[in-house]
This record gives sequence, C-alpha cells and structure tokens, in this order.
Amino acid sequence: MSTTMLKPFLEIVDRSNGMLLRPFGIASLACAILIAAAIASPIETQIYDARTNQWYNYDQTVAFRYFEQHGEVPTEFKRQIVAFRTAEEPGTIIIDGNRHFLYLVLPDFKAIRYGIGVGKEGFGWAGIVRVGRKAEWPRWVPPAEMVARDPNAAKWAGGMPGGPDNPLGARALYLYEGGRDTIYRIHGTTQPWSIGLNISSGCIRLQNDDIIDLYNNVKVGAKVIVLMQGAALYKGV
Amino acid sequence: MAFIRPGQGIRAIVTGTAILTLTACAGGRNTPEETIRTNVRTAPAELQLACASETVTRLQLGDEQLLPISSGEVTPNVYRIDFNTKGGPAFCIIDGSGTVLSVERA
Repeated sequence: MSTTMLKPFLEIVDRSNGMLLRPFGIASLACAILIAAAIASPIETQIYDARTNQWYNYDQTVAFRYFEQHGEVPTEFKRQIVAFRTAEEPGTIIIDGNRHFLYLVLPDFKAIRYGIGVGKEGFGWAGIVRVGRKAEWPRWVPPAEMVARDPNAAKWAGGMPGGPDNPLGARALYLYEGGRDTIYRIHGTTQPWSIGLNISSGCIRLQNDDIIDLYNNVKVGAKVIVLMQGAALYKGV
Repeated sequence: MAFIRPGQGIRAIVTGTAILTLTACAGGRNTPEETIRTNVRTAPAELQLACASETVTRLQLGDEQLLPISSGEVTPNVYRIDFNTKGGPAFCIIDGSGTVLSVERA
C-alpha cells in the first residue's frame, strides 16, 4: 500500500475535523494504517542487487545461491560490534526477529550483533525468557509436534547425538521461562546459508562460529528479550 | 621512460580525476548504504525497548512488561511503536536518537 493510495482517506479525515491536521498527526495516522497492513502481510527480508539496482525478496533460493557464490552471508548478517543504546544490562540478549539480528549487550552502549534465522510463518514468537542451560555439541531431541509433522525429525524421535550433522550445530542455549524449558533454543546450524530467513520451527539459529562466540560470552541466567512483530507472545508450552 | 611535454601531465591528471569523479558519482548514486532491508521498516530494537520502558513509566503500568506488537517509520527517522497493555492499546512516538516524543493511549 502506498501513501498515494492513502491520500483520499487522509483528506476526508482532515475535512471532517474542519481544521488542518498537523503533519505529524497525518503521518502517525498513515503509519498506523501501514502498520496494520504490515501485520496482515509478513515482514520479509530483501537484498539489493547492484547489477539491476533493484531489491529482491531474500528467500531460501536467493539465500542459498548467495552463499554458494560468495561463500558467506551478506555483510549485514556477519558478526560485528555496533552502537546500541539500551538500559538493559550487559550480558542481556536482545533478538530482533523481524530484522534477523541478535544483539548481545556490551558495556558503554555497544553490542555484538549477529545474523540469525528465526521461526517460519506461524512459528515465530516474542517474549522475555532466560538462558536456563548451555550445551556444547548438543544432542537433538525433536519435540513431539515436530516428530508428528516431519518425517526427518521422526527418524530421530529418540534423540540424535551431537556432531557436525546435528541440526543444533556446535552449541545451544536452552531458553527457560519461570524455571521451565520453553522448548526453544538459540543454537548453531548445519545450514549457514539460512541466516536471514524465517525458516525454523521457532528456534533462533546462528552460524556455528557465531554461536560458539555467543556461548562463550553468555552466562546461564542471562535475560533474553525476543522481539517479533506479527508473532504471538510466548505463553508457555 | 616516455617524455611528457610541459602541461600534458597536468591535463592528464585533471582529465583522469574528472573521469574518476564522474565514475564514482554514477556508481554511488543509486547504491544504498545497506544491502539488506525488510519490506516493512520496523523500528530498531533499541528504540522498541526504549519506548516500551517509557510507556510503562508514563502510563504508570507498574511492573507490566511490554513488548511491541507493531512498529513503523512515521516520517524519516521517527517511529511509532504500538503496544497492548492490560488497560488497552497504547502507542509511543520516538525519534532515531532515542528521544521519546509522545506516549498515548490508542
């Protein structure tokens, strides 16, 4: 939806009040409508192609091809230190699921930013949880719902030992809420090209080098804030 | 080594600089600073959290923990962030520097 399409509606609102709406009010109203439209359609990542001067949806095919050609993810999704003004304590993890970034808060208004993959449509979530435990080369036990819908997961219903083929990758941080396992994890991956995508069953995935770095810098008990607009709030399992 | 006549070197430098400048301008004109974006410009995470905190304070929501349900850019570098509070919907307007411009019940 473009702002041009909104213009007649805004003019009607303007006349009905018998006065000029403040530009800020108009912009806010337009934004509210745009936001409502955004909730209705999923927020998607796009990548710029300098050869065509155009933006393209960053879907699984494009992401896989990009990784094949460059041997790495786009620059924005690489680990980097960024300015980050927050009142949250250093050591807190803040996840922006819509933009596919995970921030580890550092002192002096800085953060380490990592690229992530998040839950596909219907599997994303938002909430405030904690790191309940950590594991190196974690064993993967697919939850019952995943076993029921995914034949690949069903093969490992009894658990898959940790290792390079394990979908949890090199490390895992287990997310707890009120002392209970949420079944969600922050973990590594065997699919490094999938960073930047909505692809998982609700877990947050990082490249293996990145999850090792995060694992080494996060303590059990660390607060984890998951922001994901358009997704349901975590309300327990 | 080739000999350069007086004035020829300066002309070459000026011409070369002009070509380089034009090339750089043409190449950079349409290239965005970022190569990744979302189709909907949501507010940066730090602004979402700052607005959540300020909304709790200004609306006296006690220990309620707010998470945004939506956000978007109202005007360049100014964002509106929407919340569902126990007392109903509310929104917060914040600029890119982190200054909260307003908090209101929706």
